[in-house]
Amino acid sequence: MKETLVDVSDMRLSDDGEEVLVAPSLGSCIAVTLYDEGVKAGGVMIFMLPCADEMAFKQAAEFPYMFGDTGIPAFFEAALAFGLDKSRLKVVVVGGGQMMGQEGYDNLGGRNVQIVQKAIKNLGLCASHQSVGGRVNRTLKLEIGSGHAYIKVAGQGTAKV
Amino acid sequence: MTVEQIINDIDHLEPIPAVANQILELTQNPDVNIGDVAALITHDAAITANILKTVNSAYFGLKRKIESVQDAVVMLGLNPIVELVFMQTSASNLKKAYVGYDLEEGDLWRHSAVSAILARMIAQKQEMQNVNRVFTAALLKDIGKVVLNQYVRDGFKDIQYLVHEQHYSFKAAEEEVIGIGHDELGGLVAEKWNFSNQLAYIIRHHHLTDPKADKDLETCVVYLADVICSSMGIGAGSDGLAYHFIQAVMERLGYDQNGIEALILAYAIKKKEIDALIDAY
Repeated sequence: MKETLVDVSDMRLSDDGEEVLVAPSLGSCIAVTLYDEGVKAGGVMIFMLPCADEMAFKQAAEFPYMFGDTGIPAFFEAALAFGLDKSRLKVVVVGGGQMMGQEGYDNLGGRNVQIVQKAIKNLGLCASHQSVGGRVNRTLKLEIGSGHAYIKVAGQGTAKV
Repeated sequence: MTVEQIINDIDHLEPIPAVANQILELTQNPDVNIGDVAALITHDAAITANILKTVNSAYFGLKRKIESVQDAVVMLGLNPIVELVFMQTSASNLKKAYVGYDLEEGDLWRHSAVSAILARMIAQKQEMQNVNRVFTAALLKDIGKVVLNQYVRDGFKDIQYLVHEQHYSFKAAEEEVIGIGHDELGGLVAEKWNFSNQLAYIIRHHHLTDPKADKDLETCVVYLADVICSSMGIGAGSDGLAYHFIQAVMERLGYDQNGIEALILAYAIKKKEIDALIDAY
């Protein structure tokens, strides 16, 4: 198995059964995985900000995966172009943490969670597993060969989904 | 294990060379002669070599090759050069893995350097006079973790219990289990290294647990930079988000949620160049 780090504000799709895609140390950022068991291929995208507003329009064109609202549809399109089938997509969403005392505020992690849920719904998809919010950092690994996602929550161990 | 023993461990750190301190002090004076600063830097061959290598890297994107510290100061100004001096002299302590905090090699360094760059961006927006001091404080704010690492590892279960079951902040759990937090210990390191009182103050209070600390704007800037960096998970370990968010500080520094996102965007756009700079150490 070889691990490949996925950069924040970027995505990676793979059909290499030996590859593991890694989204390390997700705080308020969110990693979305798409996986198709039928073709044994999938990918990970990590966005850091919820919306590309007018101010950031230029950046959104250059860095679509920096934002949830532009990144998720672009990732979905790229996944279909890569050969994944929408009807078989397994979707996992991880991240969107926040600090103590931030819960009541319009905080970044919470806004990222809201945008990812909205964007997935708009695409007619449904997350099969979510590990979001709370006061924890998470690391996600997606095994391309098996389609298993491993979610490590800092200080609390790893769950396989 | 006693707190005195832990404090004695400070001596195991690789000290910041005195010349770095002298440079920082010199640049606090707005009328400083840049030739004096360049001359002081040139006395240290390792710092000089690193500055010349870094100013000629893609991060600065200069059109012509810089061949002397004097040239570098003239071309870039004093602030970036002082930043490079402290990055060069801090990297060896901060780059290692610190398993007590679940930090792999390079994690604490990345967190510290990005915090410092964010702190500088906030301080410049505030038009603060001592941008260098704010940068340096943010860079070294977690130096106490380097010393406390092995004690956090030994007390990890108890600390995790307090953080996850009793809703302690991570540093409050350090105090409860070990007897001292990394922030207080960082302040003691700063004193031992003869940093200025203000620099030691910012490092000691960067989590703003002392109610008076939020009256100090420079400390607030370092706090906010730390919060943003930790929130994004940059170089974050097991303590990552287990700290208090203080909305009033954000507002006091003139930021709302949009302002914070604009700051993150400004960082994100330059991320590749910033990563290259950080990875060069």
